[in-house]
Amino acid sequence: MSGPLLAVDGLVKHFPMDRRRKVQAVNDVSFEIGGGEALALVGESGSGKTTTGRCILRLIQPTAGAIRFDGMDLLAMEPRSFRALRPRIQMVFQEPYDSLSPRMRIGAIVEEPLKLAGSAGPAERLDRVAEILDLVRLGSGTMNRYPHQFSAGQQQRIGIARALATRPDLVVLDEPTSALDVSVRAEVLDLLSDLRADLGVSYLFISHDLTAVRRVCDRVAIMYLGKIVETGETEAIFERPLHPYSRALLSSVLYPDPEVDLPRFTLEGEIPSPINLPRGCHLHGRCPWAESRCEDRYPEVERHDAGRAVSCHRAREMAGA
Amino acid sequence: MPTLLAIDDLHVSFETDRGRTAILHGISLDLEPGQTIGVVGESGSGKTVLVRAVLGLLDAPFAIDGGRIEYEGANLLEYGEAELERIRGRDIALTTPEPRKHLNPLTTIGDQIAKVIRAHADVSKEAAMARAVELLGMVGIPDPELRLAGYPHEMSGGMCQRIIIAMALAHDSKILLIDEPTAGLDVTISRQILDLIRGLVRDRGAAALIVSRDLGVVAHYCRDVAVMYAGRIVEQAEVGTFFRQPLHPYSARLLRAAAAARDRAVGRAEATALLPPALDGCSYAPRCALAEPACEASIPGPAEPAAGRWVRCLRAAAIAHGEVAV
Repeated sequence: MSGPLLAVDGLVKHFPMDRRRKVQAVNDVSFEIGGGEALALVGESGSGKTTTGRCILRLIQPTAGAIRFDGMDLLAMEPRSFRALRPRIQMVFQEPYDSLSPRMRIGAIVEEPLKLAGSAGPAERLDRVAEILDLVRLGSGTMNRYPHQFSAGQQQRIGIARALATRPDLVVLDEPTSALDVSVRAEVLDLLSDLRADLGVSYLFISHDLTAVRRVCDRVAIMYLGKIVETGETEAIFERPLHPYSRALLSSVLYPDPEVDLPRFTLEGEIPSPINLPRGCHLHGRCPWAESRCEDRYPEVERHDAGRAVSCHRAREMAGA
Repeated sequence: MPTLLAIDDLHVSFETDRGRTAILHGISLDLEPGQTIGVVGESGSGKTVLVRAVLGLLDAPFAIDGGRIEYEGANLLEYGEAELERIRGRDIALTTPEPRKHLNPLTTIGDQIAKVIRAHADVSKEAAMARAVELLGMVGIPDPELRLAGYPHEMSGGMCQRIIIAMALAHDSKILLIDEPTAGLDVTISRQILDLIRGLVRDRGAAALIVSRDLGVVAHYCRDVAVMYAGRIVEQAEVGTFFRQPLHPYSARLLRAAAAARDRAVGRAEATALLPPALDGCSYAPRCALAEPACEASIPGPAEPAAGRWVRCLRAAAIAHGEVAV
């Protein structure tokens, strides 16, 4: 395959509220994911990260922009062709129990996407279900049990098994570990890393949990009010965030060690409403670096080394400071 | 230091048609002025039941089977509903991790906060509204005057969470029971709320019990930690000592899991043996790598290996002396 597996270009999604107002959830977002790569989409509530994920699965129709999957234009596709493609793009949801039908046995839950794909007969499907349940370390023996008989961590493994059953190229994971206890969170993150290494699947990992992202993803895109403000390799961003919003977000992480000093880079006030987006840079009203040009126009994307890109008028200047 | 709240040997059970299940098996915990204790443990360990029991908020099928909760010389477990109403929200305030369930969808935010204020203070509606604006400002809600006329459904989950916390701060309560303060809050707002609670405890001589699954919150915002497992406190210690040297095997596992989830440099997470807690003997024994036959025979009593810290584990002394590794 040449070119990226997924290329999102200039994605916009506005939800109309009434005749005059609209929620501007996603405002010109572009990114790419290569084959076997894991990209994190990180941000706080209202950043547009979940809406972006839903647009890719065509669960909602974008207002503008293009989404290419393996070179094909997803948005221009007829529903029938998109359905044929659907086994290659799957999703894992945040609430493991809520996303599993309580009346279906585990085997049937994991088999469902294979049935929808329609390419395999019953015997072949059964083999695949057994194989995938082994792969997520639940064991094929769990096939005849019901979701409520499992712990939250195991339920999330069922959700992961269902997503992987059709051998997708891309899995969109929406906050896959947020609902889990700390004791099982790390295990699920490790499982996701192993599966990617073994299967070569790509992830779009949507999360507000920066540290979960650090364990699983190669690259990170940080979103604020519907725009990506910074992207780069995961470790590089954690070591030295360049955008003021990235700095604030990363310095808010509470590491489970009282001896780790808490760096403080604080922003004033609250995330503004996506209904009335601030003019200029969306962050200027909260940013300690803001100057007059920040109020006037949204900063261009500035490219740095190693695929790092930052949208801030002052990032380069402040990086030296 | 005088004790503000003394929970002593609290037993709570849950009644089902198949009989009684014990939920809390003799919890004892003292809270002093200026102290913040973090209560940690996985879902189902009894953390929320514990804080709700303090204010008499456990309804059937929960039942209190014994113990004392001492506050200002009285046993709160003997209080009637009217006496509890007098201290709820005034002396002892509680926040919930499910804010929407506890806000009235049909009443404005302003009216709900004013009601909480006027329940214990003889002030006019106008004065209560002015105080409500001040409280919403404290928890970082922008344009608080405008928010007063709004309804819960117009607010985000994080906003509702902050409204619940604002209500808990209405009366300068001496005791704050904070259940999952950061659940559903964005990280930048979480820090703001935690700083606020820390300030109240420090400046007003209040005390807080913070229930949290997030060991980062405990590491940075609590003085002490109590680890719960299957309805018992299995270890209690000052935070610095605890993170340096946990003595209960379950605490050690919890710390390793937290580090693994937070740091790429840490090796792979250990697999969780999903075994239910034992009913006899040490409830952690089925999952414990250090368990001996004696662990299955009896429930280890609380041992105090050093002043101010104690642990329920037969092997705690050996662990403390470095004879076995947890």
